[in-house]
Amino acid sequence: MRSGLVAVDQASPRNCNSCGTALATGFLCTHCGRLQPLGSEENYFSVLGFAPRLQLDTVLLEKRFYELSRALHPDRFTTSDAENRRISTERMTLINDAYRNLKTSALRRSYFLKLFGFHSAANQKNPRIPVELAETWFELQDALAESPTEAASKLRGFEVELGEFRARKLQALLAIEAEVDAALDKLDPAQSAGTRSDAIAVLAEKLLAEVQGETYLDSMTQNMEHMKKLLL
Amino acid sequence: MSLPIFGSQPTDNTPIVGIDLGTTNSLVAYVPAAASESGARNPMILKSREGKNLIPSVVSFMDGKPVVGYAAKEHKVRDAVHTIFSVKRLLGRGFDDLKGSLGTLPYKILPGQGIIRIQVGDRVYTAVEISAAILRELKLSAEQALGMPVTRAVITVPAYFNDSQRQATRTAGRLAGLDVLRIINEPTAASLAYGLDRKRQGLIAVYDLGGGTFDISVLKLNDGIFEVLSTNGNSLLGGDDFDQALANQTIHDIRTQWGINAAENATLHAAILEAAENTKIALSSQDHFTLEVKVDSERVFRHEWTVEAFEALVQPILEKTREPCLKALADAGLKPSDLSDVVLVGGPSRLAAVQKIARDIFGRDPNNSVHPDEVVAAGAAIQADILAGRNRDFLLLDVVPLSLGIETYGGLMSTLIPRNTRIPTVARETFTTFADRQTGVDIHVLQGEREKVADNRSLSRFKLKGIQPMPAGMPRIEVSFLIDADGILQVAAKDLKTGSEQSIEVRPSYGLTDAEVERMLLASMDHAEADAVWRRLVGVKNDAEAVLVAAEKRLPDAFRLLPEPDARKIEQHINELRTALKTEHIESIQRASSHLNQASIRLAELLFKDVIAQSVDGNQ
Ligand SMILES: Nc1ncnc2c1ncn2[C@@H]1O[C@H](COP(=O)(O)OP(=O)(O)OP(=O)(O)O)[C@@H](O)[C@H]1O
Ligand SMILES: [Mg+2]
Repeated sequence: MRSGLVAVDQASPRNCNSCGTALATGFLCTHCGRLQPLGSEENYFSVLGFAPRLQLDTVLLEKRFYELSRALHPDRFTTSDAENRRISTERMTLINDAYRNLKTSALRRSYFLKLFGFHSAANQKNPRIPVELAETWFELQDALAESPTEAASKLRGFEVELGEFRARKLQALLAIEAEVDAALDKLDPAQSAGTRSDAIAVLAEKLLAEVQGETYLDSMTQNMEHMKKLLL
Repeated sequence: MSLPIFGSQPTDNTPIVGIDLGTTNSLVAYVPAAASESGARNPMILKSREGKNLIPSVVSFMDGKPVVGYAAKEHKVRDAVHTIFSVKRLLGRGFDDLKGSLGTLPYKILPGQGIIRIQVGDRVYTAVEISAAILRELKLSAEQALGMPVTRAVITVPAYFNDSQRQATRTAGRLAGLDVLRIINEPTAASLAYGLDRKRQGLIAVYDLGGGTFDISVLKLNDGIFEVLSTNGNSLLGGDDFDQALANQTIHDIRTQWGINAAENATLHAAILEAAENTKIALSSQDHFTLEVKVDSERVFRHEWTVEAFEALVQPILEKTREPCLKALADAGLKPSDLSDVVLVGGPSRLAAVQKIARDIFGRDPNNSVHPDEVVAAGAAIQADILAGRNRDFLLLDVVPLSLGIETYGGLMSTLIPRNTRIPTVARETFTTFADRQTGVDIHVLQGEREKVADNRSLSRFKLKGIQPMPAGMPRIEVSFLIDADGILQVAAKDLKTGSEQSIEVRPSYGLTDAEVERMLLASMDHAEADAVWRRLVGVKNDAEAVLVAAEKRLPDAFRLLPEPDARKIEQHINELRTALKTEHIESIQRASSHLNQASIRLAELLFKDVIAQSVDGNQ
């Protein structure tokens, strides 16, 4: 697994906002004990010490989340002054939000696309049943109109097909994600957030199309679950 | 990456105690300033002024003066009308809640709107004041045990307590002269004490069945971090209900036997409840017991209960714990087999029936090695120690127990902060105006899991004012909902056009009738099915409306491209669908919609050919 760490200190060598001492970590001055206010450039990835990537080491992610919580949680600052308490709440709020959004691949993907300015509205075509699934789907529709027992068995068949299809789609999605990440790795790390190179834009469009396909399949799976309740 | 921890913050030396304010029993605990030889920061239960660990949560008024604890408990029967118990069940609730769900209590509750009022002699008290009397006794006990003033505390509440109930608890603390530094959830507190032994790691469920409330929490324990993954429960379910069930049976038997209505006689009623509790407790260690009550000077009622008969009686009550457990697991994304331990907490966990249901739900033998009465107070003391800055190895990462949202168009609740979101957290939503030159927007903050506003708990209503008069839809007001580590909700509004800001602390009024609240929480489970149907209806209607709009738009094409009878048919189906859409009948809407769809297939094909033909023409 690639290490996606943007060393906060490397990317932005900074000095304490209060006493001016050079900072060893991005958020706390070990010299005077002041928490550093959040910079406007922070995002969900940076606040957890990661470069923006679609695929993250989730074990490392959890470890970071715990380490940062341990250091920054407001419960650590109950005896500190109001300003430190305020910043700790502000930082912990962002960290909680970041962790929730980066923990699952689906949320991480949509945050990633948003961060780079790709919006799903960009190519909204009417989603259709994928050709691979169409035949079984229409057979199922016919059976639904005619015989419930027939429909039940068709439904089971369709469930299997849909499952397999989704597994293949997921592989494709992961492959594109890896491509996007590899392209990003080649960019200058300091510029990667917010920068859209053309190559990445093309890949992101591909990714977006897959994501929209996913959404359609999600609703199809839901429909199927509902039919299952009625039929089986 | 290693993160330095800055250790030079000043530490305040006045003690912070941990308090378990229970429905039946309360305790106070403390972690001594100096760690033990091993360095472990172990809590100790502080002895009450009566020299016991437990302080029964009973307040009896003798000549108008409150007495708390065992001394008061003795008066439960002798002076039933002046003795208040299980007041936690009334905290943050309204009179309407009492009907049905709370059973009948021997003491006098005044009917009326809003906050519950209890009449004792010629004085009237609120549940907050009675709770404050208990807290004051706890404070005095702690002061006596520690030999110094105690003014700061962490108090536990059931995880499933809503905001009103939490605020009421805080207020009671304040009335008792305590600065309540933090309200924490009982099962979470229990997990802190359980996890004091660092060897206990992994995913655990805490099943806490107390006197009046049931909570289930799923946590991840990792090297001193206690991460709450999900929480669920029922704030009107506990050991009291077992007593109530036994008592109801007894009242029924007495009526059949002698025609006496025991419920009308406060003393007799209290005696029956006491006998019921004794029977229940006896049945946790023996397999039969005779319930005995003196009905009057001549008659004594007796009934022999076996464990089997008792378990059959309480089974429906225990079954109510199953669904919250399954929901908590699902919210945490776990299967029972993922858990490394199921920890039982609360007095009733001494009953074999409770252990059985836990085993049945989780498919494993539950762990009942923790002290069921003391573990919650011990955990509160550990959190107090953390907040005092003395325990830097432990940290509790907590969540919001119930979803928070706002009312949106159509009487629906739109969730902004889903339940089980880690705190502190923030959610933002942008609002605009509906009318030209509108200068205010009403915002209605809600708590609960249901779809419709009316089914959730209303926390607060406020008006965003001072919006610059502009055409409708032009203003952009960003409203932020912030929940701090204390679980307190704060709402801030910002006019994005002018940059002007206002901030509103949402202080839910526990004076409001809470009737809906609890019913809603309970109903949320019973009505999950009804909600699902309703949500489906909305979905089907939306789909059908889309079909209808599309068909209406293409109707002129139909008359252009199709033979007239076919076009007429489409028109007829359009009308049918329009009629069906006025009903709530899912099947007819779907049928009409699919008829319209089928009738339009030919038209769609023709239109499609049309388009192809045009684009081919265009390419040439
Ligand atoms: N040996 C026992 N067998 C059965 N039930 C018992 C036993 N001992 C105590 N109980 C019951 O446990 C209940 C009190 O439990 P506990 O002290 O855990 O509740 P609490 O903390 O006061 O209530 P809550 O947590 O709901 O606010 C009472 O209903 C009591 O009758
Ligand atoms: Mg309890």
